Amino acid sequence: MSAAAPPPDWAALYAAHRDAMHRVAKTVLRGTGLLDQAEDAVQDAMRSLMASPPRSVQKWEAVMVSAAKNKAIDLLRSAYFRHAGPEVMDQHFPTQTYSNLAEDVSEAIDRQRAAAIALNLLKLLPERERDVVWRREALEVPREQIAAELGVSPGRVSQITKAALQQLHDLIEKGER
Amino acid sequence: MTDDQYDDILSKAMPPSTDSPQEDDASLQDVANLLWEANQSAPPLREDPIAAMLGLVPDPAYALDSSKLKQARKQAGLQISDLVSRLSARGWTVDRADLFRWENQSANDVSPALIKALSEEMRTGSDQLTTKQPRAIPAAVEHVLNSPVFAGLVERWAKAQNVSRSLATSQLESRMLATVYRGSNAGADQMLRSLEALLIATENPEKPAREH
Repeated sequence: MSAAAPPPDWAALYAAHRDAMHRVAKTVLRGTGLLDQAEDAVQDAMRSLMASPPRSVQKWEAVMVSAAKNKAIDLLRSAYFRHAGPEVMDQHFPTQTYSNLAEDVSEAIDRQRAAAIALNLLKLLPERERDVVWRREALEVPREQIAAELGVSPGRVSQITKAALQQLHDLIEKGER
Repeated sequence: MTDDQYDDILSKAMPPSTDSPQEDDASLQDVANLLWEANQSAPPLREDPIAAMLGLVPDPAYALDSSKLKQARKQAGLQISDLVSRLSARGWTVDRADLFRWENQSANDVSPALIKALSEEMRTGSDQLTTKQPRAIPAAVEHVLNSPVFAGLVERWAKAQNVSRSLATSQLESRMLATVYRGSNAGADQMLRSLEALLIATENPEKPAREH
């Protein structure tokens, strides 16, 4: 005889995974002009999950990240459909199969881990490189602004950024070995 | 020669670097993307309408009372570690030090949702664990709070979420305050419509699945 599973504690789950949900939605919508709708995607994802709680969940992080990602993709699909029509859309947004959905979820979670590792390794860079690469790539401060503040040329900011990225890349690779 | 002067001379002497690492090296662009992603997160709790809806925003008007918590835990025959285990199993990130602090020092940071979880694990009513303190509420929200329509929404929310009227009031208030803190100039009618839409979306969820 099967026992009824207790209802999920959505507040606890959202508290634990809300950063990951917002991060994945923003990553999907980055560069599309829809970045400001990432919160809507997460809100829709939570509503869907709460309305139809999934069965026998092994890993809530995967479920919640996946839900946010799918809602963000839905937003993209919807915007693309309005712009390009259904035929072109199918080329760019093929129907999701179970296997590539599972792959996507796994990839999204790996990505969360990799971003956390990169952030941690950033602390090992010299202060100047660390500050420039963070402001340039994470905060997207224009290089001209950084250059003016540092009293160097914009080209020099790009060089510092690239050198810092290379150091970070090497540190990540070293950690993976 | 200062470092900056050296940098500039070096910059002029070297071939121009592109601003985007993408043109140079896809793997560096990937590292750049990771940094961007690392900087992305949810909005602050107070400005997050989902967090507010779920009761994750600490509310002075619905605050955990340290002595009531300790008393309820002892009456339930639970050790601090038992309660920590039960909350962790539900997905809450808490440890013994948190529980100890809530019982002996300060519990102002405990959200209504966590108070509800505590009360369920100790099999007591969440209102039995709380104390009320006044809080400043913007005039626009106060107007809504005093309306009969809001009272009706509270009743429906309490029923849909299986929570007390006090907790339902706290959650819906926090939901409205989140929109106000985010700079929305929504009027009373719009706030009520927004709450009603939220209710309709959550009033009839499917039954939780059974484990096989």
